[in-house]
Amino acid sequence: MKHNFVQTANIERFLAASGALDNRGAPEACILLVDGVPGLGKSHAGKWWAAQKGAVLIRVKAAATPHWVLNDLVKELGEQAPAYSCENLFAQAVGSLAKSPRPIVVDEVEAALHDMRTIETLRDLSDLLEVPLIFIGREFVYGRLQRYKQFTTRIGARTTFAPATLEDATKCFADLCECPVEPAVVAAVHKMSEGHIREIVKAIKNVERIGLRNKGKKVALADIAGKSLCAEVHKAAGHKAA
Amino acid sequence: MSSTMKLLGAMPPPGKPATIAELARAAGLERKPTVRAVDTLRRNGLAERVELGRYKLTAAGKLAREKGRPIKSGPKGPHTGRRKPNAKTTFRDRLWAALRLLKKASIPELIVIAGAGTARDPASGARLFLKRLERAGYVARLPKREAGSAPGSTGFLRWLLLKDTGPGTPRWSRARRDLYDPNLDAVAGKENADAARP
Repeated sequence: MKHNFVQTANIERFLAASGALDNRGAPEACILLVDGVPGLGKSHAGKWWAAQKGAVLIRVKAAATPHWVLNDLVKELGEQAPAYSCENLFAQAVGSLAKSPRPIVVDEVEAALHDMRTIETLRDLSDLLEVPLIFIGREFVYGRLQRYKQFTTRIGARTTFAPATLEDATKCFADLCECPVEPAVVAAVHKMSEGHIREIVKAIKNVERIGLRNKGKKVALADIAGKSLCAEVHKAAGHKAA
Repeated sequence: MSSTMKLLGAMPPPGKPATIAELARAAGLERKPTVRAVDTLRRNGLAERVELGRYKLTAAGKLAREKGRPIKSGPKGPHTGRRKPNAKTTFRDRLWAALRLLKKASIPELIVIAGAGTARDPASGARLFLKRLERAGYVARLPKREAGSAPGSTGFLRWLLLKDTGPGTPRWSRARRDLYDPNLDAVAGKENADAARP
């Protein structure tokens, strides 16, 4: 497999939204919300973006508290001795981010919704330092946040990840697969994966294995007939030879 | 020949200390390059200002002229300073950032997140970096490999980050044969001469 990060339609929308955040009118409207159902590549996109932009990424744990999140943030910022109290952790985070401002990516933000103080703490940081805050979470996050006007007015941009299209699948094959494949194979993989990018990548690996075993010949529908390309057994390819 | 070398040839002694205008005439230079060249000679300890506006060579300057020693720009001593905080991000910096983000990953996964950029052979570079980190106890190999797709492939090693000390990239010193961690401001792992080769 080629080592490329594929810029699908979801990623292009995400990059456009993060660009819109940079050009926001109100300095405090610095939250970008990225939501969608699981398996569409939101977390992977967040990690890639954080690596490119030098952002700090924290993953909210299921039992998260403001102290836990601040502790994780301060450790990610490189503090060797995180403070004991919440107040001092907040001060450490402010000090570190004030010296070198970086965006903060918060993955699995839905885990923080059970205790709004956790999200409010992140909002306090972002309000003070005006650093972009990227929330990545499940499809219901925006609906839950709408109850709290102090958040919805601060969401400067929002992007919803959708299932991968056939064009996305074609792009993935072009950018990742080391052997040529017929368009019918791409269409079959797209149908099998139901638009889940993770499954498409797994299928590409399997198709590539078949292609390389056939000395780089173009992989046709007949070559993948009866083979399970995606992870789940019930998605075994049942295509007849063309 | 550079302006500085031309000036070195024309500087007194012999003769009394000269002004910038006199030096410029003698060396066949314009005024500005003469001023810069005098400054270079003074910084290198080869010329001195005897009185206001008058310059001559020092003993070191005379010796340099006799021996025909070239005066070049560039480092005057060993690189012992710390890396600048706003230094350009390298491939290894991005690899370290990717490793901190993913916590455990194979080399292909790290390269996808980090981006190869202009690295000539990102896989080899990543492999060497991870081996150095492993020796210093920063990463460990996971028992299960990521499946490869080439026929006969044994798959890709997966690495687990054990010590996340911070955003600064641990740096290997070829001269000292150790790994310096800027987050701890300390040397993390030292190799002896026998275990020098990865």
